[in-house]
Amino acid sequence: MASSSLPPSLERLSLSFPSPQFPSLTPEMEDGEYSSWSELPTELTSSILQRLGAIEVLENAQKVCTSWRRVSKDPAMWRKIVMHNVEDLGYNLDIMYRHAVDRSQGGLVEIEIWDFGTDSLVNYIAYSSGNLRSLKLVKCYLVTDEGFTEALVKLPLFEELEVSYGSLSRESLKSVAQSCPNLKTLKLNHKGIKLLFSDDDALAIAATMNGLRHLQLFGNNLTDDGLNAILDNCPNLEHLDLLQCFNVNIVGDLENRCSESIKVLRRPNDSIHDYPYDASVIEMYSFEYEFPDDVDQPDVEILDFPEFDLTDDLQSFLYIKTYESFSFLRGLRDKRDSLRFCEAERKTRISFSRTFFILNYGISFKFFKYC
Amino acid sequence: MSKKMIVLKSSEGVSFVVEEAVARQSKIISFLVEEFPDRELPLTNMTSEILRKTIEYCKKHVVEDDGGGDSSSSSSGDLKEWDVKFVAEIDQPRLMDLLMAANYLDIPSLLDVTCQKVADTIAACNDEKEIRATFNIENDFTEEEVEAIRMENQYPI
Repeated sequence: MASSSLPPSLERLSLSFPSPQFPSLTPEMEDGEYSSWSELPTELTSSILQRLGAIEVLENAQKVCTSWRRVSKDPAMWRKIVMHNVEDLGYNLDIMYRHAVDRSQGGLVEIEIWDFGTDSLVNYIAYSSGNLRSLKLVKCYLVTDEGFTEALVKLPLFEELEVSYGSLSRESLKSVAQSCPNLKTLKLNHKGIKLLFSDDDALAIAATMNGLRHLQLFGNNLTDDGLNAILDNCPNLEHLDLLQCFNVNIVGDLENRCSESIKVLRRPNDSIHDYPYDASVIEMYSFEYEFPDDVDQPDVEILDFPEFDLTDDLQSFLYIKTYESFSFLRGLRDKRDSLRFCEAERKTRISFSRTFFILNYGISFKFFKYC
Repeated sequence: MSKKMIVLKSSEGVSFVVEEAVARQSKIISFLVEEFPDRELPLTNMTSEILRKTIEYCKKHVVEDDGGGDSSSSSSGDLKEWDVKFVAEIDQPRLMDLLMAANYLDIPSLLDVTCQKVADTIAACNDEKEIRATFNIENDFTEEEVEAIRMENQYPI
């Protein structure tokens, strides 16, 4: 009597009823049929293998046994791809990851690229994956604004973008918004830098991304003005993360505004325990100047400083040695119009022969352009 | 709200009395409780050990879910930590049983942590041979298939 009242949906779940009085959860398969990991139901193997990086599947997991191989060729396995940089693999990662993208057969929805990636790879992905909704670029310093915007044009369904520790100019931000009208999530993360002020990102977001629901601006240099502009123009914003945005001061009116509309707010000095990247802060306290007695130098205003071009040698040096710092410096140059250093330094017109940037991790760079 | 108890019976015939709210994290049990109220539910493919583990997991999660309206990120962080510890203590064969149990009973969060644990173990292996050894899987490829994979996996620099 009990078994006859069971709906068909339970049959699907392999329930059987040895006694009519007691419903029982017994799988139809024989005892011990699933004694081996290679014989798990396909959807479970797929769920497990999807949690691996693309390299781990292509290089290891698919070589384990025929059933894992079969699962790893299923396009459904490749809806999300995580691409890491692995050194000394002896492979061309670019080609390998294109192979991973090919396996998705156009079904790729979500992609993460860490520590490498080129314009051509990003464009290959965009070209092959019209359904892509989410793109995360972490420390992809080789991906340029141009390459990036070219790729996004091909992705009308795009909803979620993260660029962490790369550079994305104000113009790129605007063209992202134009190409992707459905953009709901933006994460734009930098190293926190004290004493730099810029509302460029904030104003670009406020001007163009009015449909945002989730915004993370870790280490951004925006000010209260920038934040107000965002709140004015992004009425659907529910989640706002401003960790290490040291120039905003969420008190008074601004605090009221935030608490009215934002459901989840992370303040500049909140705990960074779940922030997945390096959260060390660059202290801009330290321009150190040397004044040679015998050289008469032209006056240079601090604001002009970022105008200089790095020499090729210096670029390659920085590029190889510290991606991070290069990107940081490039950011400075891009944002020269709005760079403001602390007032005391700003007013000082000085002549100098060398400037040292002393970053918080103790690396000093010497710039001789103005020598 | 009174705490209603239900009885789950393992394959060895051991009965476990569980709060309904705890057991209801399984979508299947949730369904069965409604269809067959006041009845002992025999889970004949689950050993007492696995059933006990499953209930332990559900208990922990039902408590945390109940724990106040604004359960902050720290409490969900604690729960995550607990989950990691929970699966770390389980050996390989029992992990598969637990994973299968989570699948049968339809407990998505338990299925998620067990699958993740398996994936992490695979990721920690250096090559396919180590994976086979770790999970006791037989190499059932023909030579032709091995060669086919080798040809496919060429990414010249």
